[in-house]
Amino acid sequence: MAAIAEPASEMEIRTLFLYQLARFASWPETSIRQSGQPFRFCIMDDEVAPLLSRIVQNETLNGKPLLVVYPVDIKKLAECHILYLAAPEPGKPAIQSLLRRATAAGILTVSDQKRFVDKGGMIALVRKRGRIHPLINLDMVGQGSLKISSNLLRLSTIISSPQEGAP
Amino acid sequence: MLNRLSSHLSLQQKIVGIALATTSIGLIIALLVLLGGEITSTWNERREYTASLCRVVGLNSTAALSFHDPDSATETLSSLAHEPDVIAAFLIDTDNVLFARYESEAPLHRSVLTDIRNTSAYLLDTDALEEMNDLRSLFRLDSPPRLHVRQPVIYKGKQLGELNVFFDLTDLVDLARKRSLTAILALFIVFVITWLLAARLQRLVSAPVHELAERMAVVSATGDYSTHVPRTSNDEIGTLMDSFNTMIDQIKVRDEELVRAKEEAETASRAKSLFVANMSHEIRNPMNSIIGMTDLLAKTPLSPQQSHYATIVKSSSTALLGIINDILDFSKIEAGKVELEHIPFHLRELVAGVIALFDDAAASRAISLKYRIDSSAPDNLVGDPLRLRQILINLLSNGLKFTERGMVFLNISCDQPGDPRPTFCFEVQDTGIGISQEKLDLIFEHFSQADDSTTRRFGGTGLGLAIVRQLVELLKGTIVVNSAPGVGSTFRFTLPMQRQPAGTPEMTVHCQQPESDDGQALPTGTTSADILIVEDLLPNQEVCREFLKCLGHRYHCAMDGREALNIMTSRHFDLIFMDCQMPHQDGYETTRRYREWEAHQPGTPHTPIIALSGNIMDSDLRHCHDSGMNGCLCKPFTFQQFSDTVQHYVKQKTTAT
Repeated sequence: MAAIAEPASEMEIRTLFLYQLARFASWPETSIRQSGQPFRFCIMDDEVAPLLSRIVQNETLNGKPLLVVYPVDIKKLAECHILYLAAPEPGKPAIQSLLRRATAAGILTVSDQKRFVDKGGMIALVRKRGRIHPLINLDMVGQGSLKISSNLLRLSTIISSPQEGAP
Repeated sequence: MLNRLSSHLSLQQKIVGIALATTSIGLIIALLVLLGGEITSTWNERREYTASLCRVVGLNSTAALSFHDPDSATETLSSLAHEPDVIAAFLIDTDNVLFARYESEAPLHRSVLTDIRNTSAYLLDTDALEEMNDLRSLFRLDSPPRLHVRQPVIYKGKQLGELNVFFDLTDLVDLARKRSLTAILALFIVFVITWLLAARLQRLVSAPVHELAERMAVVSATGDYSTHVPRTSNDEIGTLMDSFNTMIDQIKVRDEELVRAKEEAETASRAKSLFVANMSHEIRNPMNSIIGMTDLLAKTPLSPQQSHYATIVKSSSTALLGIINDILDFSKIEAGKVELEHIPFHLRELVAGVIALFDDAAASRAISLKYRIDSSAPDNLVGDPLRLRQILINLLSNGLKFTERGMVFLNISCDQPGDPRPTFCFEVQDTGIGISQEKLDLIFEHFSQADDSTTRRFGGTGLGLAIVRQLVELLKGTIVVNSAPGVGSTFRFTLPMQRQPAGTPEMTVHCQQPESDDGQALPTGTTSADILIVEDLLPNQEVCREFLKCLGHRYHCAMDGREALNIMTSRHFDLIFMDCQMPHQDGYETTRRYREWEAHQPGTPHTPIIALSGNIMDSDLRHCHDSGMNGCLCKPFTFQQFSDTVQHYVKQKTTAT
């Protein structure tokens, strides 16, 4: 069991939460992400990637091995289960299209920015009263045909009014 | 153990006991099963409920644990406030750090809470951590009654922490206690009902048995075999009653047969005894002539050969007389005609007289015959001297008969010489042939000697000892015999006696004296007396006549009572011998009339009258006395006896006048 050394940095906790998200969400079965394939964390952040790699070492989820994909090959985006974007610039068209593609492919999109959930992202792991707190846009989660555990929802802040038209 | 116990109980107690035992055992088993089932099922329900509750709470805490949100976890735990049984809940993370807690605010749980807080410290040590790897819910029952459920929080195969919940089980324990009390109460009620029912219903079984037992007791106590037990039921007890009735009938029939047979036998026996008694009476009269005439014959000048023949005739007739006496005695006892005397006598005189009878016989065979009487033993007694004498004679003659050398010893002792009713112990010891152990029981039987060969060797009827035993028993004594073959025998009998309070007149009976020496002499110093002989049988009359001739007295004869009375009232006699049984008027009647006449003749001297009787029944002796006779001379008598009697009364007369 991975024991987290105290005191853990905010980044480490965020990475751990990212890892935990895999357990509290469920993915639709797609042709690409077939059963038997490893669970892929696609990380677009050079700081989180090595931390996560260390956490998922030798860990499995529902019998699948956990895999950290870094750097992310956009062409193989559909294989990802979770897509983590560090400090994305919301409203940026490239990011928007990436998020759209990811949502369509049923990928859980996660970031560390509060605005992320307003701009087409699903979950933001933000700092709140000294703790990392999940913000969840259930509409986006629903669009991606994903399901989030009610347990997680209970302790998260639900962003229920998406701003579709917002740039 | 059970058998021993049951043997002390009555039938009723057994039936009630069986009913109680079976009912109670059955009920106890049923109650235990029910109670156990209920408690087990309640407990299982509670376990399942608490386990699922903990599982749900644990599941709801997974996100909080995963995302390090203790507030959320506390909120989740606080949902347990809806469960009144929950005392406290602690959520611990995988680092064994208390993550969230819930504590009941119910006042009921306050005291328990402190206890839990104190003991739950153990949850936070490393051992507990290892235990947490067990995936199942862990249950622990603590006291005071509470349930500690340890529910590992696992989410998607990964342990996130452990939930510890404490449930209050007081209600469950209360339930168990209440149910147990109810069960005990039910058991008690059923016990009482069963007891009442069984005590009532057992009568169905025990009452007929009881009745039967009572009837049987009545039958055995009263011997009344005419009672029947009415059959009251058709079961085995009814059969038993039938069998009992049948048995009673059979016993009754047999009893009647036995009584009839016994009566017949007794009648026959009485008839036989009477016959024998009569026969021996008839035999006595001729015997009297034979013995008397032989005595007279011996006094005439005879050639040595004739004298020898006369001696043989004498001894043979004497032996025959002994046998007849034995048979007569025995018949009398058998016929129940013996009446005991109760007259004063002197023990030492009696014993000396008996010993003297055997002195010569013992001396002639060189046997030492001795006797000893305790100096402290009282001498003046009241009882039946004739019987005692007969017992001693029989025992001594028996001892002498079977002793060829050595001695015969008579020892008389008295246990309580001061007692007004002392018990005497008589011992007749001999150094004879003895009796073997297996024959000891037989020797007191009728017509039995130790050995048939004994009869051939020593002679005798075998009645002597049987008579002894019957006489001893008549006198309320006991007799035992010790013997060793070749060493000798000891006959020991005890007799209760009575001390003589004061001098009482004695009736002299010259009777049954066994043979004595023929050697006699005319009593010197006596004058010739006038003696009347009343006797209807001429041979006997002649014997008396000849005896009186020998004695030098004058005599007159009468053939019957009337003739005698005429003579007696016309002149005076010094002594009268009166035959008891005569035609026309018997001896008793004659005597009575004479005494009446005598009483009206003042100045007439009293004439002694001696009965001559072949009947030696006690009633005859009393009859003699009652009619006014002074004594009795039993037929047959020897010359010596006759001479002694005459001398006694004539001397009395001479001294009296």
